[in-house]
Amino acid sequence: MNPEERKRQMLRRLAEDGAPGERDPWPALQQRIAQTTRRGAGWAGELALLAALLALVFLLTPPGQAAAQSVLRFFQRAGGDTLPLPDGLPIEAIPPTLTPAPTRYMGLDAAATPAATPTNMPAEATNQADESVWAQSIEDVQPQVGFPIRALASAPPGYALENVVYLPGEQLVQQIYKYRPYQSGEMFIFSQQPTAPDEVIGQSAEVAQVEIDGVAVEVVDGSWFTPAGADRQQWEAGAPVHSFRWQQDGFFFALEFWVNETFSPAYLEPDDMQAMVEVAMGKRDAFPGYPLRLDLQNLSIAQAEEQAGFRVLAPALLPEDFVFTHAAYDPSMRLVVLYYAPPGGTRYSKGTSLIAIQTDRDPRTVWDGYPPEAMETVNVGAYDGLLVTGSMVNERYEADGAMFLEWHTPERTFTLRFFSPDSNPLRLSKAEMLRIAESVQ
Amino acid sequence: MEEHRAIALLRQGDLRGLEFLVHRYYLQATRAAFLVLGDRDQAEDIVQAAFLRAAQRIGQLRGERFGPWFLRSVVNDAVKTAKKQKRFVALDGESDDDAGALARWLVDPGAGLEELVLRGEEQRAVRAALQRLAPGQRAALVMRYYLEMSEAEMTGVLGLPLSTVKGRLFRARERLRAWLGGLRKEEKRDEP
Repeated sequence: MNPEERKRQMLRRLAEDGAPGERDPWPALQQRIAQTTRRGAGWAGELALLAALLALVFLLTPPGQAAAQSVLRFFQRAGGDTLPLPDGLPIEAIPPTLTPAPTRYMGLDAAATPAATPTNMPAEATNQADESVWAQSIEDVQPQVGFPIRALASAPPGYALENVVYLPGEQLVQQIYKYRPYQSGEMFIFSQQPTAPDEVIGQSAEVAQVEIDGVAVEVVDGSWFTPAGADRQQWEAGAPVHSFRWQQDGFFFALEFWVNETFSPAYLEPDDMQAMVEVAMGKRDAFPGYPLRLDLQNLSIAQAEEQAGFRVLAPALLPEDFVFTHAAYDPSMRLVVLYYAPPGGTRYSKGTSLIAIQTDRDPRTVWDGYPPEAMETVNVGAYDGLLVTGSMVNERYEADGAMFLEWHTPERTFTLRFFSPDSNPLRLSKAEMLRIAESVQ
Repeated sequence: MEEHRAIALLRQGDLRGLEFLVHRYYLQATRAAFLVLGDRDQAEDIVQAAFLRAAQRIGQLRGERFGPWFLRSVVNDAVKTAKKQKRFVALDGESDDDAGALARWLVDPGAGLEELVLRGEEQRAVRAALQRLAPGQRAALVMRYYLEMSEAEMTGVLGLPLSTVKGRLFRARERLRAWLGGLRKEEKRDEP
């Protein structure tokens, strides 16, 4: 037997031993389908399977259409599954694509998603486009908005806030989160406005009405889509777009997940999307399994210390001009994070910054994909440490301006992370990084 | 019933189509997920959820066979779950012997396997060592050696370029070789 076949045989034996397959799986799956149906307020994706036929039959009848429209709170059904195109938009020479066009997003930033067909942009968004305010952070937009903008305390791994948009005419604030590692087009938009939205969906769109932590939520899968050269946009129920809408604390909120495909590394499970809705509602502190948006916390060292329950150590030596900006605490991993940056610099980790992380646990970071020459064993005082330069971007190593130093003492695990983007020539030497680490007290 | 007929039924909302596909793919999918996760209950949970989702999205299956379409979803789900569970690897309490055993076997299957079989520990050793790999690397090994996909097929499953797939497989093997290197040093030290 050749080595390849031996490997296959061993994995087969391991799999057969771990999952023998001695029982018929179908009854368990049937039970799961039944449980999902009985839950009533269960997850939309699973419910849709069984609800689809009934809903379709019901909606085909005039009473069904009337009833369906009357019970919807946050969506309005169109009279059919096609709509006229908004006036003044080109429809020629657009290549065929099944990528749906985000409505308001595309209308305001058409260049950002060139694969989409921007013909299904609602007219009101066009009219508002010139007045819209685009910014990089909530803080930049907040002064122009007459109500407090709700921030997301956490986001799924890889997703980061790209833009905050304010449309004064609709008093609509939209926070656009994009999946960063692969630039694969996935994003979600968190919307907030004090007035009821005017969100039109196809007549046949399936709307799941669920309750999440006591809040009624409507969920729709699908999007308007305009085939190349067509003079009408049509409702595409299978488009990978999932919208959640609810009303809470005097505001109408929406979370819309775009281009969410199972094969993508950015794919979000239905449970993930529901978890994000709970985060957006303030019912959940953080996306499951991932830390809080630490950059949104604004703790003093004393406050972080109080939450962590252990004495927080801080570097006595900092890069020139750096100052302490804020601290954060993640209870799930008992991490205290201290942020340092030049005055006026960004408080986010993508800007020039020094971050000191400590925990009273003993985790070991997995430095997957880093080449051996990027990792160096060093001594931090009496303790062994690992100094790592560069970053993993898109699963590829890049020798950028990042430097990590991790070391362990009997009571604590420390990680220092220095980062300076390409636009800033500031770099730390390894010796300087070590001196900062040794100054931690 | 043939597979294309099952898919047609499912497109019409007929669960008999789903039942056929469950019987055809459930075990293979569960075993692949188990190899990535190391937990049968979790593996079954992921596969059941994947079937429900596949049924809901069967309309998106165009011009592609159900098996690869479904299995890539399961493997991706398993990797995502594994990543959520282990952002850090706690080395305390793990047995280097286990990792070394797999390393020995994967690098040179003929050399250590019989010994492991004699000890009756090969399953435990392989399973423990497999779990030490990063989820993406684990999935790469599972796809290559359990699902018997070509590297080209894996690019489709993972949505990654061939060079990245090769890189993952390479890194998985390199890590195992590194462990083996440490083991061999220990063995030499023990030699009289």
